[in-house]
Amino acid sequence: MQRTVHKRKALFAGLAAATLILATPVVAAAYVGPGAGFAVLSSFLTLFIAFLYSLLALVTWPIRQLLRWRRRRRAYQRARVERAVIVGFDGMDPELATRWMDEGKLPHLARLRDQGTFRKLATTFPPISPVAWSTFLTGVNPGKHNIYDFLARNPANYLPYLSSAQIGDSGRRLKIGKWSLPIGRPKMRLLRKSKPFWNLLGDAGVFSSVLRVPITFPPEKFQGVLLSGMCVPDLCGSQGTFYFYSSSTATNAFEEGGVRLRLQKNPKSGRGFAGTIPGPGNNGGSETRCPFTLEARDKKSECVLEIEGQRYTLRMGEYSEWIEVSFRAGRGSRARGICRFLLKQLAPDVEVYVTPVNIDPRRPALPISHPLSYSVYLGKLLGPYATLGLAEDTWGLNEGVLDDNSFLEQCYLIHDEREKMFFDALEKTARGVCICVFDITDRVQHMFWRYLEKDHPAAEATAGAPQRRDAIEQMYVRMDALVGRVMEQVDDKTLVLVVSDHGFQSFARGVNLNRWLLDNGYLALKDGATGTHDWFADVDWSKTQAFAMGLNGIYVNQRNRERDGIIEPGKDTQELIRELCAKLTGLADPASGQVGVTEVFDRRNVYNGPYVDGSPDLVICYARGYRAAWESVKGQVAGEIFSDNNKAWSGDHCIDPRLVPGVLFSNHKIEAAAPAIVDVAPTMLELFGVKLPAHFDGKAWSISTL
Amino acid sequence: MRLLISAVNAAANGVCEILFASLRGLPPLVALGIIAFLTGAVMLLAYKFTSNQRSIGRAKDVMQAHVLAVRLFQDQIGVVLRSYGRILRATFGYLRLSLVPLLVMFIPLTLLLIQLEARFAYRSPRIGEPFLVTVRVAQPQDVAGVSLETPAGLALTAPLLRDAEGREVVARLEARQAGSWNLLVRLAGSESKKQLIVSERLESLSTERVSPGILARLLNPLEDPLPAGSPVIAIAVDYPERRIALGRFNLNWMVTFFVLSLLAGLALKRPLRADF
Repeated sequence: MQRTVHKRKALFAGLAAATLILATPVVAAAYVGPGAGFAVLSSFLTLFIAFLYSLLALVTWPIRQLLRWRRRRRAYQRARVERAVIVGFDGMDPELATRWMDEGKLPHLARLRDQGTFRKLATTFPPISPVAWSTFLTGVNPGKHNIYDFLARNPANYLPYLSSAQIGDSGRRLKIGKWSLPIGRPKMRLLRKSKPFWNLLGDAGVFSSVLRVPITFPPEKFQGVLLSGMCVPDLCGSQGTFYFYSSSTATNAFEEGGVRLRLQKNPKSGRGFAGTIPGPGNNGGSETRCPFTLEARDKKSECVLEIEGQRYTLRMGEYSEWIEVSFRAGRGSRARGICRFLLKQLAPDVEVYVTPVNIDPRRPALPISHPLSYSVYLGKLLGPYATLGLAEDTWGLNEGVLDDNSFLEQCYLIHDEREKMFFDALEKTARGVCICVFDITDRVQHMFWRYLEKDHPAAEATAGAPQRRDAIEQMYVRMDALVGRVMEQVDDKTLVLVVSDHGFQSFARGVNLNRWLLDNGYLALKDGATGTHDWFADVDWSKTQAFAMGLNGIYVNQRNRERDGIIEPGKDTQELIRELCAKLTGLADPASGQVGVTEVFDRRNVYNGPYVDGSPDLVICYARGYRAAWESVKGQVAGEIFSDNNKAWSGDHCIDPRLVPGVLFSNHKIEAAAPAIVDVAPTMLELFGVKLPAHFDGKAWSISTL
Repeated sequence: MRLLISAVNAAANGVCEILFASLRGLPPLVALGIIAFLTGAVMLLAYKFTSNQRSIGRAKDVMQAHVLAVRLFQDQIGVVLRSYGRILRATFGYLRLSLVPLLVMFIPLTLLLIQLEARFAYRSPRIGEPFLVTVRVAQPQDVAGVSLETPAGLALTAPLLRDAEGREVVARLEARQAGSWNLLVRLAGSESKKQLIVSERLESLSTERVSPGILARLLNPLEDPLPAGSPVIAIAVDYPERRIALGRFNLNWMVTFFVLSLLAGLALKRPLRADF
C-alpha cells in the first residue's frame, strides 16, 4: 500500500514537473540551449535534407519518368519480367549440391530443382573466378574481355601484374607551405574489356543493383548501383595482407599474404605492449603507421586495445568489431581503413592477429562503388563491412595464424554483412535486376576440401588443428537457407537464377610446369642458380623457350614480344606450341601413374577476339586432384614436377573446365542444350527486351513459363 | 522547498558572480561569446558522458543512410517514400536517445539561462535616460496610498500614474548618478525596497521583485521576494532592452547565445571526440 502511495507521489511529481516545463515559457526556452541544439540541429538538418531530396524527387519524378519513357519507352515495355534476381555462389559445385539435395539437406535448392531448373553450367577456359565472372557479366569469351587469370605478365620484364585493374597516384598535389594536399583522384584503370550487361540494360532504362560481382573494380558508371567485389585492394594496395603481432623474438617470415611484426614493451607506460599497423605510403613515399597499445587485464583471457584514442576490450579467440584506423597520407589528408583484431594468446607471449586493413566504405580512400555514395550508404545503414576483394583471409589459415574455427568465424562475419546488403538491395530493386555474388562458397571449399577425402595430404598435415569436417556441408546448408529467404521475397513474376562460376575438386597434388620445362630443355637457369627465387629471377632468358606463369598458362618466350624473346613469331612459335601441347597432354604423375594434365590447348582454339594477344599461348587443363604447384604459379623453377599439396588450401577449380562446371538453378523452366555462364548476359538482355550486341558469344536461354 | 530554492539561487548567483567578475568590462558580444563557448564545451562534454554515444552515432548513420537512399533510388518512388518514413522514424529514435542528456542538462542550463537573462537581456539606464518603474498592489484601493522615495542617484520626473483598475502605479524616473540604488515604496505602513542599477558596464539586473512563490523566485533569483502578506505584490523596473550587434544584425541575446554555443559545440566536436 505504502509502495503504491510512493508510486503515485512519484507520478504526480513527474507530471507536475512536466507541466511546469511545458507551461513555463522561460523554462521551456532552456531547450534551445546547446544541448538541445545539438540534437535538434542534427535531426533537423537530416530531415531538411531528406525533405528537399524527397520533394525534388517527387516533383521531378513525373518529368523524369516522362523523359525516360520518351527516350527508353521500350525498356520495361518489352520486358518479360518485372525483376530478375541472380544469386551467385562462387564455386558452388553441382555434384556436392546434388549429393546434399538428395540427402534432404538442401530443401530450397531441391525445390528449385524439382519445380524449376537445375543444370550444370559450363564454365570458361580456364575455370578461374575472375575469368568466369567476367564472361558472366560481358557475355563474351576471354578473348573479348581480356581477363585470363588473376595475374597477367608484363612482356617487358616478365613480371606479373593484377590482370583486372591498375591503380596509381593522381600525381597532382597542391603545396601550401609545409602542407601538401592531394588533388584529383588516384589514377585507376579497369583492364577488363567489354561492357557488363547491366550497362546495356541501363542504357535501355533498366535499373540494376549489383553487389560484389568480381572484376567490377574500379566501378563503371551505369544506371543503377554497384559495389565492387573481387580485386578491390586493401588500404595498402595489396590483395590482402594480414598482420601477426607477437612479443616473441621469432622472426620467421610468412610465405605469402601476411607480415609478422614484433610487439614492443610500451615505452610510455612501461606496462603492456605497443605496436603499429603499417599503412599506405604517404606522399613522401615512406610507409605510414597507426600505433596501438595492448594491456592485459586481470582476467587472463582479455586485454585492452587502445588505438586512435579509443579503447576496446579484446577477448581471447574472439574477433573484435571493425575498428577504425587512419593513416596520415600527407599534411591535411588521411587514409581511413577498418580492421578486426583477434587476440590469440596472452602467455607466454602475447599474440594478436589483425585482418588486412580494408578500405573504410563510409569514407573510401578509393571509389569502390557506383555511385561513390553507395558504399557510404551501405556503411551507414549496416555499419562498417569488409570491402576487400578477397576478404576471407585464406592465407591466414594457410600459414597457421588462424585455425579452422577462427577462419570460419571470419568467413561468416563477412558473409552476414553481405546477406544484409543483398536483402537491402532486393528490397530496393522492385523493378530491374538485382545481383549478388557470395564468396564464402569458394573460400570454404578451398580451405576445407581436405576433410572430404580420407587421404588428402593436407588433412594429414593439419591433423593437429581443430577440425571442422562438416564445414563445407554446413556452408551449403547456410546457402540453401539464403535461397529460401530469397524465394520468400519474390513472386512468380520474378525470375530467380542461382548460378556459380565453376565447381570444385580436390587439390592434392601440385604440378610444377616450370620444372617440367627445365627438365625437358625448354627453360634454362642462370649459371649456379637454384631456381628457388620468385618471378623467374633465376631464369636465363637467352636460353628459355617457354615459361609457366599463373594458374593455367604457359607463355612462349617470343622475339619482339617478350623483352629477351628467342622464338620467332609465326611458324617457330606455332611449332613450339604444338610440341608442348603434345608432350604435356596426358602428363602422368609418377607417384600414382594417374594423368595430371588432361589436355593442353593452343589459345587460338579456345579464345577469339581482339584481346587474344594478352592471353597465355597455351592453356593447361589439369586432371581432378591436380593443379599448378604453388611454386610454379610464382615463377619458381625448383622442386619436383609433381608434389603433395600440404596447405589448408586443399580444394581448387583451376583445372580442366569440363571437370568443374558450375550450377544453374532457377524458379522457372529453362530450355537450353548446354547452358553456359557466357549465356547469362544475353539471357538477361533478352528478358528485358534489349537487342543483343553482335559480338556476344552466349545465346539467350528459352525460359518456358515466362 | 523555500530553503532549497534560496540555496539554489544563492549558489547560482555566487557562481555566476565569480564567472562574470572578469567579463563586466567587456563588450556584451565578446562576453556572451566567451560564455557561449564555455557553455558549448561543458554541454558537449555533458552530452558526451550522459548519452550513449555509440547508439547516437548509429542512429545518425541510419538517418543519413535513408537520406542517401532517397538520392540513390530516386527513380523508384516506393523506395523514396519508404525512405522518407524511415528518416522520420530514425529521427524520433535519435531524439529519444538525446532525451537523457537533455534531461541531465535541463536544470543547470535553466539556471544559467536565468542568470544570462539578468545580464544580457537588458541594460541599465544611462545617466539622463528616463525609465519606468511599476508597482503592483494587491487591492485596487491600495493604489491611492502608494508613495515612492527615490535615492540620490535617481529622480522622479513626473507625477505617479495611478491605475486603480489595473492595480498598479507607474513612476517615471531618470538616472542622475551611476551606482546601485534602492528605491523605497511605501504603502499602508509597509516599506518595500527595489534595487536599481545605473551603470555603463555589464551588470546583473533584477527586473522585478516579486511575491513569494516557487517559480517566481526561481525566475527572479537576484533579489529576495517581497514579504508574505505585503500589500505590494511586485515592483518591476522597465530596463531598456539590450540588442547584441552582430555585423549588420541586432539580435536578441538568446538567439546569439544559441548560435554561438552551437558553433562552439560544432568546433569542439572533434577535439572532444563527442558525437551529437
